[in-house]
Amino acid sequence: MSILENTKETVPYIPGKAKTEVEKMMDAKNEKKISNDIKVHTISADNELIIEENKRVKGLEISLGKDINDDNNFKNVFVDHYNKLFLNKIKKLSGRKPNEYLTVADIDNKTSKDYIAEKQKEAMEIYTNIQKEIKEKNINLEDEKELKRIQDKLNFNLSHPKTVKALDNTSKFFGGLFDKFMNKANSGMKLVGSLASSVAGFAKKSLNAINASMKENKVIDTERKADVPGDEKKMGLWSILKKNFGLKQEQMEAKTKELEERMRIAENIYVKKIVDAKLSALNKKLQFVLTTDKIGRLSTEDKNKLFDLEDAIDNELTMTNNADLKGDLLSEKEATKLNMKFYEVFNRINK
Amino acid sequence: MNKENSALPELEKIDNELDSQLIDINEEYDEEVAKIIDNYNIDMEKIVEETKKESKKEAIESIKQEI
Repeated sequence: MSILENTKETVPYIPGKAKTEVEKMMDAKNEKKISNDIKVHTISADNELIIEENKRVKGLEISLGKDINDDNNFKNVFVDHYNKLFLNKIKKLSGRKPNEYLTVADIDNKTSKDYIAEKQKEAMEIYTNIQKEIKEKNINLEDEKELKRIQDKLNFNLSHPKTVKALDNTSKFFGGLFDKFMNKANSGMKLVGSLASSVAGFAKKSLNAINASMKENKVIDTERKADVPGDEKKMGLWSILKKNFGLKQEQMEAKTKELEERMRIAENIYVKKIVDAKLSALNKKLQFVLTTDKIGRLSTEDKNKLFDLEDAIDNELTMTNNADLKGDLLSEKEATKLNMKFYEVFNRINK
Repeated sequence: MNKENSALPELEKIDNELDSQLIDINEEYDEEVAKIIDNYNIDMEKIVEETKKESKKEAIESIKQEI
């Protein structure tokens, strides 16, 4: 019987803590991020977008559907900033009760469309006025105070005019509003007002995507998330964002690789410490059994614990895929020595 | 062979020591993982901040040209 290849019945093995704990940590981080940053909306049976009215999403890309890499399931909506009032208004116009969900159908009906068009018109007027003001008063946009004042004015007047941006081919509401507004506002004031939240939103989503993909060991397709329907050239601000993120993405990926490497090292150290501690305990026990004059008092439980400990070490070694680490954990010589000792003990306790 | 169920104190002591060691190792590992992830998040946030600043700067330039 070898300590590495023993054939005796083993006790149920609880998967090694190293991997489980990493996963748990990542899960906890991801869950925290998701709960803090992203409200994942659902898609109903008839493929309608369900918006959870009581949840507010700030400047974030929302992935709809379980698997964002699956085209059949994929709905990708960028929400720059839509506020509760705006959605509530549409809900009222659609005749929905306060506790009911809004759907794309509600948003897409004529009344809602008129309301959106009205808001859009209002937004464009204010945008034009602000642009005019900047031009006439020669406002220095590099001056943080001025910039903030303009941003506040824009946000206040429009009650978050950015409302909703959409990059989803299937979502008429989001797509329509976003296209119209963005095309007009191309490289205009709206950029300044929405830029920070857009970048932050995209970045947070990227972080989440990276974290999620790490868990599944998938390559992240952030480029796809950056895709925008329509003519990209019209979307000056988006291009700036995309360009900068294209550059930063390399850094992000490098950091992720670094993280994976650090995790791997930490895990190896952890497994080694665990196995060392168990080996040491096993050796102590074997030594005790070999030298004690109380062998007759050894209970069934004591014997089982000896086998269990050996099993635990064996399992720990088996679950370690790293060949180098396996050698580090228990050399062939050590394993042979341990086996011999174990046989001796086995014989002694079974006399 | 003795059938009594109580463990010998010497063996029990080894078990207890091992348990205590395992708890320490687990805690140490948990702390290490948390530290690694925190550092990763801090680094990523920095990258995000840099991107934000650069994008904003370019956006302002773009607006100035437009105006």
